[in-house]
Amino acid sequence: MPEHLDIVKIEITTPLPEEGYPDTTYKIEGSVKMFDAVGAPPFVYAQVQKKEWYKPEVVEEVTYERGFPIPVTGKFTIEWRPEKLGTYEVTVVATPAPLPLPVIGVPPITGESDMMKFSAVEKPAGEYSNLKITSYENVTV
Amino acid sequence: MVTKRVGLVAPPGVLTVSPGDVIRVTSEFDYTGPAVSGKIYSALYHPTFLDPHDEIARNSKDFSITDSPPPGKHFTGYVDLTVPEGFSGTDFGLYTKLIGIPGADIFSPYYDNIIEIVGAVPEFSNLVISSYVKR
Repeated sequence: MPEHLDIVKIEITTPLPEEGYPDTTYKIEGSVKMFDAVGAPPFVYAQVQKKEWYKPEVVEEVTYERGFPIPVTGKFTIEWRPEKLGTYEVTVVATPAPLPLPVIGVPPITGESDMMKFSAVEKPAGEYSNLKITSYENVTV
Repeated sequence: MVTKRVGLVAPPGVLTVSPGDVIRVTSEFDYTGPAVSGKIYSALYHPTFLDPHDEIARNSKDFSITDSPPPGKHFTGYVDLTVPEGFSGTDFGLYTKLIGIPGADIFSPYYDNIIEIVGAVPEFSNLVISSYVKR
């Protein structure tokens, strides 16, 4: 885990739901503010850690989804699309520089949000009701 | 292309058609759940000795619905059916089903005796001997 310097405040206004479905896009919205600093907002990423009960935390799969803060307001949106069933821990982190992907030599984390837990579950079958014929007409083409 | 509408009827009203006419069947349903696609299928049927819903015309149309969390979405669609040659009577009905969706097909009620087909059978008349000769 990279070094954590708490100089950026990340506020989440639209967190992930606690439960969702694979191959569906979810949005995390929030804002990022730098304490006692002026300048462009830092880079923000959703750090997604897929939890596997049989794996030690250090070898769990971690991916990053980038968000783009708007200058001045610092508001950002990050889109994330889970691909597998399972439990994820998602934290929005701020860095002073873009993360190379795959992540090698992660720059210091300058702030992070509260961690959000997300469970990707099987899509339920849809429910259909009130299927009926409402009208019929004779049309001639 | 011009579509001429001859009549609009709601169940249990009776629509009178002739062979070659096109019946536009409008159906609707409510849906709650994840995004889905499938086909809306409608058929014109009449009862026979072996099958109470023997289909004489059928057609389908693709539909797709985006994510529909509770309370869900309302969907309306139509399918056009061409009345085939060789049938006449008042005992024709319609039904709709949803096919190609996850799980089992979903059926509407069967609407019996709501379609009347006229002029379907050729009529022979005036059969007479017009002349006769010795050969």
